[in-house]
Amino acid sequence: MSEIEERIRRYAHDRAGALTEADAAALMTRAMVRGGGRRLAHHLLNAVAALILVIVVIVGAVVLETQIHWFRQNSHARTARNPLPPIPSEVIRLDDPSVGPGLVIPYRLSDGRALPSRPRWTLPGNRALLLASSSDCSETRIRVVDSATLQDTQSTVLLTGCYDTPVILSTGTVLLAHHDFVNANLTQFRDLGAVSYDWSSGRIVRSYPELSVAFVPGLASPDGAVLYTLNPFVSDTRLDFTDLNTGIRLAHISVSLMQAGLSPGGLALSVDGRTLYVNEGDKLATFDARTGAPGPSVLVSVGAKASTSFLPRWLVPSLDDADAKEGFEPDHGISVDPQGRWVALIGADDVNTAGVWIVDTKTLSVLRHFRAPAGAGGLSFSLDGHLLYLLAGQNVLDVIEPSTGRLVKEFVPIAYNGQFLGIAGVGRN
Amino acid sequence: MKDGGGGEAPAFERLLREHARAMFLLADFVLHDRGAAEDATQEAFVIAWKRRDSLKDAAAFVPWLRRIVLRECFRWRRHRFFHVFGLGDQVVAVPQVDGAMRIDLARAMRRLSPALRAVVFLHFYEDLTLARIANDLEVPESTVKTRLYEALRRLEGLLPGYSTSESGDGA
Repeated sequence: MSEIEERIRRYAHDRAGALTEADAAALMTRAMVRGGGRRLAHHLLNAVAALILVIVVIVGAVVLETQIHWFRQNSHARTARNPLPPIPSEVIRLDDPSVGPGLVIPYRLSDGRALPSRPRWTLPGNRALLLASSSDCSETRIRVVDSATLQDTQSTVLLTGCYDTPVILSTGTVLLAHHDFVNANLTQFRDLGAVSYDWSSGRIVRSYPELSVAFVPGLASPDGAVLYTLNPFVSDTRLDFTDLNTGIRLAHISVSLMQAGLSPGGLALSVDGRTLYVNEGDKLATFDARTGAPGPSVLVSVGAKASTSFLPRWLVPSLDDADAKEGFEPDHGISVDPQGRWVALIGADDVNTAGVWIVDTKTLSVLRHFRAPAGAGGLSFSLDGHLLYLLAGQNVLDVIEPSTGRLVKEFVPIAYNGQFLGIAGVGRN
Repeated sequence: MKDGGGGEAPAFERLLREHARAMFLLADFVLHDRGAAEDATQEAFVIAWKRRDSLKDAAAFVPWLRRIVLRECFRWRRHRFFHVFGLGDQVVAVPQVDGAMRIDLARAMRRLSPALRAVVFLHFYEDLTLARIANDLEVPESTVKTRLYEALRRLEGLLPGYSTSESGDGA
């Protein structure tokens, strides 16, 4: 026998010596008087205890999540020493497609009232453009009206075909998309390009047969010389720069767009007009507004840092989609602070990108990110850029201070018999 | 179990009492925790009492009871979660007052699995042959051999100061 075997033998005997016959007899006696029900009770007790433990854990998690949510909602308000800024006397122009594409609903902040509809396309001299095409595109009626009274200020013009999605240019003209139908049952659409329409004389002054702005208007440079288009309805979707003086395409740039929901997207120019911002849903891309040369871009994604990024989407309650207006329309998923400090954009409806992102234009870095629990339908800066208006869902308007992220005021629900799908701009009261 | 005189229950109880300490020792060695061993043994005795009718041959009583005890030991190990949380029976550890050799061995033994400890106990304390252990536990002899070899190999690794070679002095 080996040494270790001998040690084991001795160890076993030593251990056994510590247990006497009396110990075993007591054990035996206890076993004999025990009923069989004890084991069942033992299991039942354990099951109940486990159930209680699970309930306590779940309730604890819910309470913790609520507290974290509350803390996030209130942290800025509790820590910021400055008083909340006043609500400016401004009117938010809200999109309600049911009133027609040429009208918007003004929402007055001072008393929180939705006002009667107003024309969307405003012209110099308190005038506005109204377009009405026949359903078969046989003609389009073009009116120039007083923006307050909607009375015609000049004779109505009739043009053959459909003309819509206008882009008001600073040159005194309006760029109109031109299309018609090639078959009698109106199912085959034909894109005829665009025309430049002189609204004061009521005449078409130029045609751009290769320029497609059907359904999605472009964004014009401040001097009206260049048109930026990003049209997802054409076969080769690219960011195009078109010289409106010559009709020549200056740049044809590939961009990636996250086609997730309707909120993201949009083009915006910097205040000085030198930089074009493109909301790609998961990043803010910049381009030289003259040449199209790509500049730096800013990722707007929480990525691996998100505590909920590993969860399936249905488990994350803050990702409700809002039925927003078509995001590729300029200014609907992106807004530039009139003072040029920030760009606000709506991220794509994805776990990592959803919500509103505010990017510092100097450092080109994300300044703030906050979720819009009911979904972000549209956003726009106030006229002085100190506040950000956010359409949350269809009938909640949040007023946010971009520099601190504080919620200044929430108009909920907006008293209006309809649903809003976007913000079409901001005006004076 | 029948004893032919209608007194099978007292006879069975007598058998249980006769082997109670041996079973307690087995459980204590397998679990290396006296409180747990008490629980497992007590539970095994209750089960054995309820199933006494299934035992047809009194000669097979010891291996039959041994299997029940071992099964309860293993079951106790699986369900120790509730014991850890204090939801099961109270477990009281008995302090060990031993020399250095015994403490080393106790530590090493705790590193073995209960199945290996069971074979070690039956072979080195009960002096059962490998064939007998295999028969009692209803496992192949090769399994018992493998377990014993594995236990010794591990103990050798855990106790480098001890030799597994034959010492020849019988010590």
